[in-house]
Amino acid sequence: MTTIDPQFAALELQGLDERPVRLGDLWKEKPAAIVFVRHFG
Amino acid sequence: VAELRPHIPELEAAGGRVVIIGSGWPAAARDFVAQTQLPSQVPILCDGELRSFKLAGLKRSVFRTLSPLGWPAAIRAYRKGHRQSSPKGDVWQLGGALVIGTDGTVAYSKANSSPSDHPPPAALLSALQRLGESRAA
Repeated sequence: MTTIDPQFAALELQGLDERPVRLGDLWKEKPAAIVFVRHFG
Repeated sequence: VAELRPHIPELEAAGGRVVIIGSGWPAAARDFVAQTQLPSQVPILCDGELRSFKLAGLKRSVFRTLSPLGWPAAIRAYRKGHRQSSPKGDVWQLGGALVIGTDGTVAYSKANSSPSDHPPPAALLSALQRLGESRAA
């Protein structure tokens, strides 16, 4: 198994409330299944 | 997401958190949540610049998006009643999935090969279970 790219973990994306969320925080406490959707629609 | 949604409880029961990243913007994501009835605890993140998609190694391709190879699955989804509204995001971007452990280990990675190719929920579950077993050991 590989380790996640630190650049990916450091990325900040907007949530529904438009506040930034650091991706690395998503799997800090429990594993994360991240699903990428092509677009919203 | 229609395929994933019924499996979210079992993925969470396996100790995981389900996160959705889309190529649109927050207003579009809010509409998406309303349409898809995703549970409120599922974080939805917006990446209009596709930075996370690129870093995750996901494909962006006009050819793969329009390829007839994806048509049979699209027809099956249509017959099951799944409908796509007007897309809000990058229509040439393809999706995928990552399952990441608390130490940053990537237990599962998939770059979709066409719009109708999706990460199987069973594969996500299996990866979360493997991470759970390695944490317990």
